[in-house]
Amino acid sequence: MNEYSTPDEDARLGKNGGSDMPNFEELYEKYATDVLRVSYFYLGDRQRAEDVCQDVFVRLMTNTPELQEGREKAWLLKVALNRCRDLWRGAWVKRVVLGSPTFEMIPAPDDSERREDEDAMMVAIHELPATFREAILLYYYQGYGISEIAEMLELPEGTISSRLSRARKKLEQIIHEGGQAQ
Amino acid sequence: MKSLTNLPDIANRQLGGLEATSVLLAKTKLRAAEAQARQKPKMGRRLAWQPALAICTALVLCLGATLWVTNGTAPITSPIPTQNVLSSRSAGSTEPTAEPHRSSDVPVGSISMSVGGQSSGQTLFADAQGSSFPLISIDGATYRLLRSPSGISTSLLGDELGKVSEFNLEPALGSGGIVSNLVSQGESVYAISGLGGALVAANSEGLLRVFQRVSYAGTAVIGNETLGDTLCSASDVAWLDLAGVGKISNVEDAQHLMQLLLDGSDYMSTGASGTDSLQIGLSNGLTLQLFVGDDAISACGTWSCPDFFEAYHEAVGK
Repeated sequence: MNEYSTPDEDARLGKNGGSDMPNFEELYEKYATDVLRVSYFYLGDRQRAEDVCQDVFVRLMTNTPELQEGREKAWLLKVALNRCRDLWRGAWVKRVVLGSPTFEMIPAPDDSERREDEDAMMVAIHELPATFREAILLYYYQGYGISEIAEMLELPEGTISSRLSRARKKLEQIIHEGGQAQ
Repeated sequence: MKSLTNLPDIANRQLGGLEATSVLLAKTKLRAAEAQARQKPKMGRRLAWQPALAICTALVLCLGATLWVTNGTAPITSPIPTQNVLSSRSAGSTEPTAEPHRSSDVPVGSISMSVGGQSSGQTLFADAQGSSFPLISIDGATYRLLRSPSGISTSLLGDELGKVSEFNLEPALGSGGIVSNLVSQGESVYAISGLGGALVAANSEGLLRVFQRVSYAGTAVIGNETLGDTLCSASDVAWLDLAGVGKISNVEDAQHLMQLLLDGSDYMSTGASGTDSLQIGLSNGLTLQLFVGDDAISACGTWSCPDFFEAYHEAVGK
C-alpha cells in the first residue's frame, strides 16, 4: 500500500527466526540511540525524532518481524528513514511556511568545547535535500556500504553512488556559502 | 570533504546529549501495549460477559433474599408493582424519535463549515493523533477524518466497501487491505452515495464519521485516476468557498467553476500542501476540503489550476 509497508521487506532483509536473536530490550539498548540520532539528524526536530524512534520500536514489538541476525540495525534504520521521509514531506507547510524548529546541537554534558566547523558541517548536512541527506547519514554516519544502502533504500547502487557524489558537492557549496545555498 | 570521514565522531560529539532513555522505552512499550489492546477489542468483550453475568445473577439472588427476610413473606406473594417498566408505541405514531439532528438532516447551507476570508488555519481535516492524522486506508487509497460533520445519516451511505481488517496506530506500516488508526477492526466502511472515491464513512465511537481522500505516505492518485475521481463531479457541487477571496453561493456559478477546475487541472505531485483552503459544498450537505497554494489545489495530490483561480476571482468580483 505504500513505500514502507511492503510485506516482502522482512524477507529482503533476511529472516531466519533463529532463537539466538536478541530480545526487544536488547535491541532497544543497542540501537535506539542510533535510530533517535539519525532521525533527529534527518528531521531537525527532537520531538518528531522521538516519535519516529517510538514508531520503529512499536512496530518491532507489535509486528515481531523475523530479522536476520546482524541485520537488525539495518531493518530499524530502514523503517526509521521511511518514517522520517514521510514526516518530512508531510510537514512541508509547517517547515516552509511557519518555519521548523532550528536544528541545534545537543552535545553531551561533558562536551564543553564545541567546534564551529563541526557545527557548520552538521547544519549543512541537515540542509541537504532529503535524498542526499539519507545517503550521507547512512554512508558516513552509520558506516554502511553502497550495496547495503542500495538494498535498504531499494535503489540501484549507481544511484546511491551518484547521490553521494552530488551530496558532497552540495555540501561543499552550502558550507562555502555559509549555509545559505539550497 | 575530508571531515565527512569523521562524521561518526563529530555527530556523536555534537548529538551526544541525545539518548534513547528509559523514559522513551517506557513510552514505546505503553504505545505498543495500547496498539495490541486496540487490535483485539472484540475478543476482550467476548471474554468479559461471562463474569459480568455471574455477578448480575448473584446480585439478583441477594436482593431477592433480602426482600424475603425484611417482608417476612415469600416474594412470590408480594403484589407486583404497577409502575410501567417498558413503554410502547403503536405503529404509525407521529411521535418524534429521540434521534439527534445531524448536518445531513438540515437543508444545504444551514450549517456553515467555515467563515470566508479566513485562511490556512481553517480546515475541516481532523488533527493528527500522534504521528499520523486519523485515517482509513483502503488498498492504497487513503481517507482522512473530517472533523465536521460529527455524524451523518445512514441515508447518505452507498455500498459497503469492506470491513477494517487491521487497526494500526501507524497505518503506513499496515499489511494492506483496509487499515485504520481510528476505526476499530471489524467495523464496516461505506462509500458515500454518488460520490465515488472522494469520501467514505465508518463508525467511530458510535457515530458515522466522514473521511476524505488525501495523499499519504507518498501515494496520491492510483493508476489512471483523475482529479474528479478523488473529488466529485461538477453537478454534485452546491457552493464553493475560497478562503480570503469569497464564497460562490450561486449553484450554477459554483458548478461552472468546478467543471473548470476538473477540466483544467494538471497533476503536479503526490504531496499535499498549501496555506489557504478551498471548501466545496456538496448538494448532499457534506463539504470537501482542499488546500490552496501557488495557483494549485491539493488534497489527494497537488494539481495546478491557474485558470480556475483566475475565473474564481472574476466570479467573486462580479
